[in-house]
Amino acid sequence: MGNTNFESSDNEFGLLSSEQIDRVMDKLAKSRRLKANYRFVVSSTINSDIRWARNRASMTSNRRGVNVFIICRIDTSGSSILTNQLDDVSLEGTLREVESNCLRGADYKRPLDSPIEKSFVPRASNTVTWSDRTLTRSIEEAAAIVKEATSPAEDQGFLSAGFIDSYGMSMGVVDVDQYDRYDRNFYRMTQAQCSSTVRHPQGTSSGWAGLARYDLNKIDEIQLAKLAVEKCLSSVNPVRIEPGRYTVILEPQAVGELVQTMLDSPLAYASHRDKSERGGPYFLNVNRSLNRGIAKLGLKIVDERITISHDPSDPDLGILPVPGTLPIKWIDKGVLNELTHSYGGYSLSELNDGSRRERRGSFRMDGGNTSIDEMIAGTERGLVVARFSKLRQIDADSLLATGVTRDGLWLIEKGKVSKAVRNFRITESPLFALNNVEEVGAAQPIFQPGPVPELDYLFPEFALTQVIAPTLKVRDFSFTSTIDAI
Amino acid sequence: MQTGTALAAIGTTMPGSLLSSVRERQSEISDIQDPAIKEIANVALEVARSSGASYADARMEHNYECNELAASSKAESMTIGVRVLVDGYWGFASSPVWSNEEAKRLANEAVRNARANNIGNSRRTELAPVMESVDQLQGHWVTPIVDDPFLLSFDEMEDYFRGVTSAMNRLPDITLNAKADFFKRDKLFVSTVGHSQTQRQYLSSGDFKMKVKHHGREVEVVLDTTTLASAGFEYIRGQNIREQLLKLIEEAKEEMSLPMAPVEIGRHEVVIDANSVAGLVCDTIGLATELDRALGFEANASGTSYIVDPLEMIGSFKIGSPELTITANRSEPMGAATVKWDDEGTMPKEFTLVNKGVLEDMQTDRESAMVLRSAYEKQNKPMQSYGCSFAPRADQSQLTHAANLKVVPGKDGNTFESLIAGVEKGVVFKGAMIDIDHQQISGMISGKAFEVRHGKRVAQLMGAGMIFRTPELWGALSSTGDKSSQKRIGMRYFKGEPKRMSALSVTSVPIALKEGSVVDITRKA
Repeated sequence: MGNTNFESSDNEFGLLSSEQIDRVMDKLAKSRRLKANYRFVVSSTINSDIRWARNRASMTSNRRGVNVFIICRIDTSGSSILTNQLDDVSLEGTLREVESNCLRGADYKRPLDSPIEKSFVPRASNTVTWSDRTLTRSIEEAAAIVKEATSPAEDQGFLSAGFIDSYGMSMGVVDVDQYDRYDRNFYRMTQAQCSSTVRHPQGTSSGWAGLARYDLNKIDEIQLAKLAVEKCLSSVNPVRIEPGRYTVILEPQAVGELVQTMLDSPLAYASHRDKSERGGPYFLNVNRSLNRGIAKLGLKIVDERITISHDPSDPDLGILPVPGTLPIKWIDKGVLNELTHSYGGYSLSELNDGSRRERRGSFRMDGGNTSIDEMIAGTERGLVVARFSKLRQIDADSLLATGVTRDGLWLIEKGKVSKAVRNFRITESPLFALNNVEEVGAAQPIFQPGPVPELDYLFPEFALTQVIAPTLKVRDFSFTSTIDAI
Repeated sequence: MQTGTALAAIGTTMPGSLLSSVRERQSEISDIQDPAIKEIANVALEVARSSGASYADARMEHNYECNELAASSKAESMTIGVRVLVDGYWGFASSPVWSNEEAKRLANEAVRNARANNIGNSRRTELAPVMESVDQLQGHWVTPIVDDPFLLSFDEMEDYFRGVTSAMNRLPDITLNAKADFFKRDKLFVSTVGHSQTQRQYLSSGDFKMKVKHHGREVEVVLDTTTLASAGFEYIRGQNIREQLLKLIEEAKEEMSLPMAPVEIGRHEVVIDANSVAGLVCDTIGLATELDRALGFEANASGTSYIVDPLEMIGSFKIGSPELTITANRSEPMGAATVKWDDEGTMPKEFTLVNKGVLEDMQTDRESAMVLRSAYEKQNKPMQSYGCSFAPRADQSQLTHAANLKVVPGKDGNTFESLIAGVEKGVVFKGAMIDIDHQQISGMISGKAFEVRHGKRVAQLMGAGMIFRTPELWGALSSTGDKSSQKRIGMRYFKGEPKRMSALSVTSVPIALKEGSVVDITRKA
C-alpha cells in the first residue's frame, strides 16, 4: 500500500526517520539499471500553522508532505523526476521513467555533483538546525498564543493580521556514480516563524514585527505582537515630506533586505543555478564576461566595519551541513574576499584552491556598539526605516535596487523622532549605502524564513535560512518618490 | 480499486518491473472519477460532520507536471486536504496519503485545529448561499484540448522544440532558448452541502526567448503568444511559431537601429502595449479587487488594497476614465484561471469589476462575499460567491485568487501602431515590467521604451520608466485598443502564508494615456 512507511508509528514528530529514509533510498539505489550518475533525495516535511486577520484566526492548518526526487545523468544527458508516492510500484515506475528519459537524450542543465568530488570537500558537523520544541507545541498552545498576541491590537482598536508556523523537515540525499561510489547524507531541520502586521482600521497606519528561528524557544511571539502595535501607534497620521537624500537609520530588517538584493536570493539562485558560472545578475557570482566581481576581488568595496560571512558552526545561523559548506567571509572588513563558484569555477586562477564557494541562504553581518537611541540622538535630520517591501535589482553593474518602505518610516529632527512620514520609493545601491556607513549597531536575527517549500528537495542548502544584520546609520540614502501605500 | 493510494491498485494489475513510464502507469491509475476515490473524501466529510463541523469540504488532487523540454523534468503528486468550519473557525489538514484511515485522521486534525481557536473570542463565519441547482453541484469536466501533452510521445514534442530551436539558431546573430511547461490536474471536490465534482484541468505554456544581435548591440526578446493557457500541446504547435519569431527578430532589429537617447523627465503622452497593460491590469485592478485582500486578510503577506472600504466604495469609487471597463470570468476558453467549478464548488460567474471607470464589484469566495451583503441588496444583486476560491494543490487550503480579467476593447481602428501614430510627442512602453507597492496604488512601469515624435518612434530611451498612482493612471486613459489588438497574456502571482502561486489570464489591449509621469528609473534622488 502506498506510503505505508509514512504512516508507520515509529516516526518522530510525524517526520520520516533516517532509517525510514534509508530504506527508501536503498530500494531505489538497488533498482538502478543504468551506468549513470544518480541522485536520490527523499524528504518529509511537516507544518503546523495559524494564520490570522482582523484579530481572529482565519485558518489553522497542519500539512504533511513527502517527496522523492531523482536525477539520472549520463554525461550531458539527464532527467529529473519528482513524486510523493513511496510505495514500491511507484518508486520502481518513477525510477524506470527517469532512466528512460535520460537514455532518450533529454537535455538536463542542472549540475550534479559526483560522489568522488563530494568526498574531497569538507563538511560541517557541528551545525545547529534542529529543536524538538519547534515541533512539540500543540495547536491549542499555538491558538492561545494567537489570542494573546492579537489582544494588544484589539485593545487599541487596531486590526492585527499574522502568521505563526512550526516547520520540520528530514531529508536523505544519496549520490551514486557509475562505479557504484556512494555519498550519503541525512539532514533534519526545524524552523519556527512568527510575524504580525497591525493596522489602523481606516488604513492610516501600519506596524510590523517578525522573526524566524530554527528554535521556537528563541521567539517571543507576545513581545513581537506588542512591538507591531507600538510601531502602528507611532505611525499614526504620517505626513508627506519631500523625496530626496536623507541620512537614514536602517533597522536590522531593512539592512538584511537591502543587502540581500546584492547577494543571490535563494529563489533566484535556484532558477539561475545553471547560469551561475556564466555570471548571473548577482554581485557575488564569478562573472567573466563583465569582469564585475573578479576585478574587485581583494579590493575594499565597502566600509571597513562591514563583514558579511557564513559559518556553519555559528549557533545562530543554522546552515545544513551540506558537503562543501565552509566558513566563508564574503566581505571581510570591507574587502571583497570571495565570490561564489562551484567546482567549475576553480579554473579561474584567482580562486584556484580546488574547492568551491557556494552561497547559502543564511548570512551574518557583523555588528557594532552604537544603540539605535544613540544613533537617533546624534542625527540632526534623518529618517528611521523599519523595513522595505518588493525590493529588486534594476541595474546589475551599479547594483542599483528599487523598492518601497513599509510599516514604519519616521522623521528625526534635532536628535529626536518627531513624526511618522508617508512611505517612499527608494532607488539605491546597497554598495553605495554600505560605503556611506556612519554608525553600526548590534547585529540580530531578522525575519527571513526559508524559501518556497518546493526548493527543499532540490537544494537542501537553501532549505533553512537565517539572516543576522545590524542597525546601520547611513548618509545620503536616496528616496526617489512618495508613495501612497500605508 | 482497493482502499489505500490509487497507485496501490496498479500493483494488482501490472507487475511493477514491467512499468517503463508514467505514461503507461497513468492508464492503470484509477481515474479521479472512480467512486472508490470519492469514498475516501466522503469518509473525511462524515468524520468532520460527526465531530461537530458545521461545514466541511474535502479535495483530492492527482497532478502531473512536465518542465523544460518534455522529458527532462517531470513531477507527479497525489494530495488530499480537508477543510472544516467549527464554531466560526476554519481548520485544515492535508497529506499525500489517499486512504480511509488517513481521511479520518485528517478530518479529526482539521476539527481539532479549528476548535483550538474557540477560546473566548467569538468569530462569526457565514457562507454565501449555494446558487447552483442539485444537478450543477455534481459532475465531471475536462478542459477542452486537442493534444494531451501527457499522452503524446515525448519524442514528438521534443522533436518539435528542437526543430524550432535549430531552425532559429541557424540564423546569424540569433540564439533561441525554447522551453515548455505542461500541467495536468485531476481534482475531486466534495462538501457537506452536497458537492461532488471532478475536473481535469490542463495548462500549457511555451517559453521562447531569443537573443538578437544587431549593430553591435544585443537584446533579449520573448514571444508573448505562448504564455500560460488552459490548453494542450496544440496551443504551441498550432501556431506558426517560426514566423512569429522571425517577425520578432525584424522588430528587434528595427528597434536597435534607432538611436539611444536619454529620458526627458516630465509629463508626456504615453502609449503602452497590450502585454504591459496586462501586467498593469493584474496589479492595479486584479489584485486590488480581491476582497480578502481589501479586508486585510493578506495584510501581513503581500499587502492590502487602495479599496480600503469596499462596502462604501462599490458603485461610487472612480478608478479611471469612462474608457475603462474591466470584467472578470473563469470560463473563457484558454484562460489560465478557467475552471467549471472553483475550489469550493461554486460555478464562477462572469462579472464586471470596473464599469466605465467606476468600481462595480469585488472578487469573492463564499466567506468574503457575505461582507458585501448590504451593497448587493442596494444594487438588487443576488447574494453569491463569484467563484474565486483557489488552492494550487489539495495539500494547501483555499484562498481568494484573481479570476481571468478582460479589458473591454475600444473603438475599431485603435491599434498599437495607430495609438502611436496619434502621439505628437510622447513615450511608448513595450513589454514593460510593473513594480507596485503593497496597497496596489503607487507603481512604476519600466522596460523597453521609445521616444515618439510626430507619430513615429525616433529613439530608444535608456532607463525610462513611468511612475503612477492607480486612479491617475486609469484616469488619464484616452484610448483603448480595438478587438483586433487584443492579446491574452497568462501570468502567475504569489499570495498567502506560506506563499503559493496561482495563475490567471488578462485579455488586454494597448492603451494611450493623455499624460504620464516619465522618469529615469536609474536616477537617484
